[in-house]
Amino acid sequence: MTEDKKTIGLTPENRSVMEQIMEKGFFRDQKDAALLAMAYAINKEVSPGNFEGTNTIWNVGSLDPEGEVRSLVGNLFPDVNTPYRLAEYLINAGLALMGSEMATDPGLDLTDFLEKAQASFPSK
Amino acid sequence: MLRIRSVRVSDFGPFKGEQRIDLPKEDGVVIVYGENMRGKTTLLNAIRYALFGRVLTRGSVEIQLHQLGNWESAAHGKYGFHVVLVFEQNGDTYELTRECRIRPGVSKPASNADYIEESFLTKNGSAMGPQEAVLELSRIMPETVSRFFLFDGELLQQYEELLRSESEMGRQIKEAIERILGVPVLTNGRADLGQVHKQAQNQEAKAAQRNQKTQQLGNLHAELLGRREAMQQESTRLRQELDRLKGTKTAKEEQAKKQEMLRGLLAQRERLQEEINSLDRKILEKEEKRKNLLTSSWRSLLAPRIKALREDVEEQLQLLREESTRRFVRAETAEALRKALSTGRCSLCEQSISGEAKQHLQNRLPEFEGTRQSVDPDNRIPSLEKQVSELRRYQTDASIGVIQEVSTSIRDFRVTKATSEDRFRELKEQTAGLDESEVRRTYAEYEKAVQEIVIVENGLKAQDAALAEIDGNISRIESELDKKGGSDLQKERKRREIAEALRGLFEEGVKVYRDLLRIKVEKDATALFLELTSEPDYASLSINSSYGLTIVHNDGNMIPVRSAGAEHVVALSLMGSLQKNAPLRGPIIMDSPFGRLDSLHTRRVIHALPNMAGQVLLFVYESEIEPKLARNELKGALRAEYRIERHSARYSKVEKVV
Repeated sequence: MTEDKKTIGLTPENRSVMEQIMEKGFFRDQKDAALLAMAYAINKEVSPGNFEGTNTIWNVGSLDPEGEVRSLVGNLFPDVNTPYRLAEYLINAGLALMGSEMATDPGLDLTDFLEKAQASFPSK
Repeated sequence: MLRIRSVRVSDFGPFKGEQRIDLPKEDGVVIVYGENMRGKTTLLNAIRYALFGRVLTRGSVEIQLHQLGNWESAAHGKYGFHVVLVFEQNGDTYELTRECRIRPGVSKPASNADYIEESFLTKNGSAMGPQEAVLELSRIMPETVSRFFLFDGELLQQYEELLRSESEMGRQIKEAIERILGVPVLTNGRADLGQVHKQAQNQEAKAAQRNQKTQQLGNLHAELLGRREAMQQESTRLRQELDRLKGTKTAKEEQAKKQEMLRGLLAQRERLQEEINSLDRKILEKEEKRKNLLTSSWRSLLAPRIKALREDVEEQLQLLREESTRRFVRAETAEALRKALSTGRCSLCEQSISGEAKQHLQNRLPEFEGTRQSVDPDNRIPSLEKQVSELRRYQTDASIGVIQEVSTSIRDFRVTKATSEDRFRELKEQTAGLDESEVRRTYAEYEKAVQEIVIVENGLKAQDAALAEIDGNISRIESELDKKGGSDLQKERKRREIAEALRGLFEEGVKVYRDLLRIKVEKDATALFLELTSEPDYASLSINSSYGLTIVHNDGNMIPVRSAGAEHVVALSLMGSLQKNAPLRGPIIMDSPFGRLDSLHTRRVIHALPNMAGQVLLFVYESEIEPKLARNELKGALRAEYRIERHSARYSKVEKVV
């Protein structure tokens, strides 16, 4: 059985996207932006997968002190045994999506992403 | 009689390249239509520039030459401009060219010093020398009277100053009116004869000194004449000083008004700075709120998905619980049936059970048996309960809607802040260099000028009284000399008497001519006013000593206060009347003269235009005069129409209306 991750990292490309997002001044902390990117990827129905070549940014204890992320990922993806590995993948996938959308339309605002993410999962 | 034949402008203001307006030979009206900012005032300025070499703003501030060129041409590296005016005067044709070229060696001009300005005047095709040209132009159209030929409709209310006796501007306008009416011909003659009279008196004194009998009187006469000369020089000096002080007072008054306006702008700038600071605080506050909301935004974003998942789990849990209850009830029922069959008594009512009933219960027993096994052998209920409890943790009050609302507020605040900052920058430029101490200095200098004017005026009064006294003494001496003088003094006396009589005649002539002019100006202005006004109860205009005109009602009373429209109608009446009575006549060239008039007055003024001057050139916007209305009112007197068409913000073109 694969062991779950103890640290969460970003690929160099996504680190650059993160910097772009942080420059806009919306988030107090990169951690908040990372979790939003994860939620963005989930709402965009990104299938579980793997990202290679990430560089550690957070230790899981600092990213998820209450274990909410692990529990949420476990609830949303019951077949996954390594929730933090998936969380890392989703954070990177979300940032990659946001980065490519920002490259197409540099005027995109945070609220545009929130709208897009909401529209991907309409309320029942 | 001056008549303009054509105006050609090249790269002047918004007029890129060469553009021209031709004025027909026949007297009448030519109208140039153009919306705001297309270049109507620039055309008026082009004529003014050609004639006088300078252009003034409405506030009488001279516009820098390097600001007059066409911006689009300048953007393409083409600097400089020229204006050509062709006009006729008493049968001669003149072509006046004034041009401004970039100085050799300058690639991008930044001030007047980077230009060379030249003008050429030809008369009937022959070039005139520079000095000769200046003299000729000042004779044809002196700048001092140009205000009656070239004027901005917006400035017509200046003529109201003629009604204020203490007004410096009123004094200046009165002098200009007298110049155009030819009064200086008499006043200059009077001054010259005054000099001749003085010379005669001096000669008489010298002749008296040569004769032993009259030597003593001659000496006294010469001394008094010398003293009077010194006093007159002092009087002249005081009058010049008074003019200078009045000029200073007016300038300081204007400066104070301007500074007052600047101080208003400064206060506005400070208010804007406070507003910007307050917006900064609000933006910061909202950004903090948004950052807090964004901390849990990922939960908000997933809230619908989590809710759907939780509802699914709750549904599963509900089904499991219901099935469990059903199985429990059945197991209990089977147990009760078995007990009844073994004891032969009902477990509920304790009554005996008949054989038939026993058989019935025996038959039903299999229905309830076999269900004792657990409904939840994997113990899913506690696991699902735990899952529901966990999923409930993700509920958050920070909805995406709230974040969007906060973001919209931040955006709105930023837009308001950007607008305020733009205005703030403008105000900063307008108030740059404003110094509070300079404002106080201006007021102090104004006050000082007012005080000095009082002192000089008092000095002049004393000087005039002393001069009157010395004149009396000189007259007495001259009477004595008349009695005692012999034949040797007769010739000088006669010369002095003739000079004195002539000076007196001119003195009287000035008074009579002024009175006559006022009567004529009043009469002609009244005739024009009655043609222009729509108010039937107005009977005439009454003129004051400064040529200010007051409306007189039918009942004989003066109308003390009048509207801006009435001020315009009165001013136009004065202009028309001056044109009729001036020895120097020319075209009337007006910019936006109808802005303050209602449609009825506009119609009447248009109708009367051909009576105001032989040649009238109007620069108007279409809502000021409808072209159809102008054609109907003027009929054959409308000689040509032009329109200034916009090609870009910096490029207008004059086109003839067919």
